[in-house]
Amino acid sequence: MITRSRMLAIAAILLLVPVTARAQNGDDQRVAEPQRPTVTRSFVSRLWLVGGMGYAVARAGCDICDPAGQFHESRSVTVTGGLHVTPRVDAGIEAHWVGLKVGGDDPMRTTFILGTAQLRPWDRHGFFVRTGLGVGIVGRGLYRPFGPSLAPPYTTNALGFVYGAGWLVKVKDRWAIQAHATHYVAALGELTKADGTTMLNVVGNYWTVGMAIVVR
Amino acid sequence: MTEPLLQKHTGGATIWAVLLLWVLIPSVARAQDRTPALNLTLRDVRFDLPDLPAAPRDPPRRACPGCPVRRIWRPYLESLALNVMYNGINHARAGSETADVSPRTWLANLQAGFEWDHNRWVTNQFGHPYQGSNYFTSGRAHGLSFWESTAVAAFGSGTWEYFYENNRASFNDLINTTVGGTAIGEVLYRMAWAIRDPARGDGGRHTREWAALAIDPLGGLERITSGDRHRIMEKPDDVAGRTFTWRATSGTIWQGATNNGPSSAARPFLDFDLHYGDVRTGRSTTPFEAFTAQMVIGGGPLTQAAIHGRLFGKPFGRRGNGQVTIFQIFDFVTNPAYAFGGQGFEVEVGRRHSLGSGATMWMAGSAGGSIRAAADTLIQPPAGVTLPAPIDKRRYDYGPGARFGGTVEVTTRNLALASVSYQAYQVSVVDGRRAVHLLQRVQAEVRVPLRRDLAVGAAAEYFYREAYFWGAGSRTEQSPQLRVFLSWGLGR
Repeated sequence: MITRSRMLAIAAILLLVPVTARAQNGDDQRVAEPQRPTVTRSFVSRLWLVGGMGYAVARAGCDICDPAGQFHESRSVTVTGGLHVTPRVDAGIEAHWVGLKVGGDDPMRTTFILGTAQLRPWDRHGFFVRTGLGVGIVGRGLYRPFGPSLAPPYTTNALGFVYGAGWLVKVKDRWAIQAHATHYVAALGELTKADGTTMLNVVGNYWTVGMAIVVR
Repeated sequence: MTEPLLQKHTGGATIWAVLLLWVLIPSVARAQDRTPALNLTLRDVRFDLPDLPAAPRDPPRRACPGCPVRRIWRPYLESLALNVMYNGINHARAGSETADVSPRTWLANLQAGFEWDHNRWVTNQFGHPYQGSNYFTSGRAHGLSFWESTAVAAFGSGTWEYFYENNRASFNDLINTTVGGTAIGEVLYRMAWAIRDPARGDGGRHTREWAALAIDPLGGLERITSGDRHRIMEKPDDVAGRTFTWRATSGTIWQGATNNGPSSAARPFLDFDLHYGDVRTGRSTTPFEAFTAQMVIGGGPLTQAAIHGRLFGKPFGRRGNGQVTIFQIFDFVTNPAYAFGGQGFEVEVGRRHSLGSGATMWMAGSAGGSIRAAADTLIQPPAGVTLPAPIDKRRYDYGPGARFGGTVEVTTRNLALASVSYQAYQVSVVDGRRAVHLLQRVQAEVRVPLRRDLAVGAAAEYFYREAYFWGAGSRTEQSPQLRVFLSWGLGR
């Protein structure tokens, strides 16, 4: 069982590795191929990396669930890696972990793997909007080490979606800090809980506010 | 006649006097501190000039001479107005079942988040995408780009779901309205501009404007209110020089026996194909610079509607005979074996071969995914699969999925003589009866040209589906059909 602190450490390493690798690659390129520095720098300078944490409120809904819903508070972790598409648009892959409580069970962690795009409508302001689409997973695979056991069939078949907005504040060079508010949606389909009961057509809604460190 | 002029001159003199004082006072103050500078004299000279022309007003922000005036916020306001209109229609049509909204329902919807709704098939698969096209074309009418207008469609859809209906926001509607609305909206926008001819000054221009208004109401209304409807100008750059060809096909269709029913009697059908640009040639990164659209009526109000809009195209090969294309796709299909509706993206790789005597053969394969697909549940699940009552309210299931297919087509003199095609949709259900659906279609078609654009032909199609229910086995359904037809219009 991996503890929460270990998971955060892994997330921090994931965030830092590309930065370190970029510095090494850049130096190597300058020595080995001095005639082509712009190509390497061009690619590296297009990198877009985001890593951060947040506070999340999650609510699961389904056909037979209590309409009033049950809200569950938890923390979330986000890691994004991508490239500039245009000066105003970044696109990449996002991994997001957040907890969700269904039917009174222990909180279960949901993993989102999303293709994401971020747009800054105005050059002079840090305001941005973002959206993404991909999969949200509760069950075996990426989820299993972090949560309670589920009876088969596990759900690995879910549609994930996110939209949100935030503000980016430049700190130094390419480093920045952002504050964001996002709404993640996971169409989890069918969940069979540990007690054997099956919940059909589960939709998880996760509202998150958080901060992140950005390399852009 | 002289009195107004006198007043005007008097008023102008007063303004100039005030301006002169305003300019001179700080100059005098500065003059006490230092010796008069050269720029003081220059300033005086400049303001002594008689009747300087007024500073020109900012010209309307048009991206090109023929483009609409660019207004960023107005499409968003129009989207809210459209929502008020659709809410009113719902009030009138269905009472206040879902249309009765208040701040209390807004708060409840915001707290509850998304769900999958149970609306009718046509409402969700066709009605919502059309509503989304209204938001999208509003953006295009105000000079926004394709991608900027997509944001307008998302805004219109999101606000509709949260604030203009009292039931929970629907996840499937958000995708249907935004993505489907983008595809339908861009087709309507480009079709309307293909019909409009703003460079003409005669009466035929207005007939075209009215026809375009019927196709793209938001664009037409904007041209009326802005005065562009009467302005002699070029077309916007992104649609200038773009034309379309069309083909109407009509005949008789025989439906073969299915697992659950006998063969049907012969019925009439009408098929309308539209080709805007050529999706099989050219390099392009302009969305929908080329697209195909198809609509089939027969055996029901609408049995098939499909849009393939090119987002990216690039030739390859030594002679450029190959083509890689990324399509945005809107699909609506109903037949006795299955019903499918969805929005997705597909990559097609094709190659053209010369067969001599002006004939060419096009071979292509495609693969992609459906962001959100819907498959009907014509067949009941196997014994042992019990469903809660709420699911039975809706006769189709939702989920993402894959799609793939292929085409071989022989063409001569712009007419498709023969073609064989295969298309498959996979739907992995996340809302409804827990299953994976595989829906397939094979089609073979032959056309014989009679004279000019007229041709006679026949087509055989076979629809086959298999549904794999989790832990409960699979079920199948199939449906053959034969069509004999007469077609008129340009082929590919």
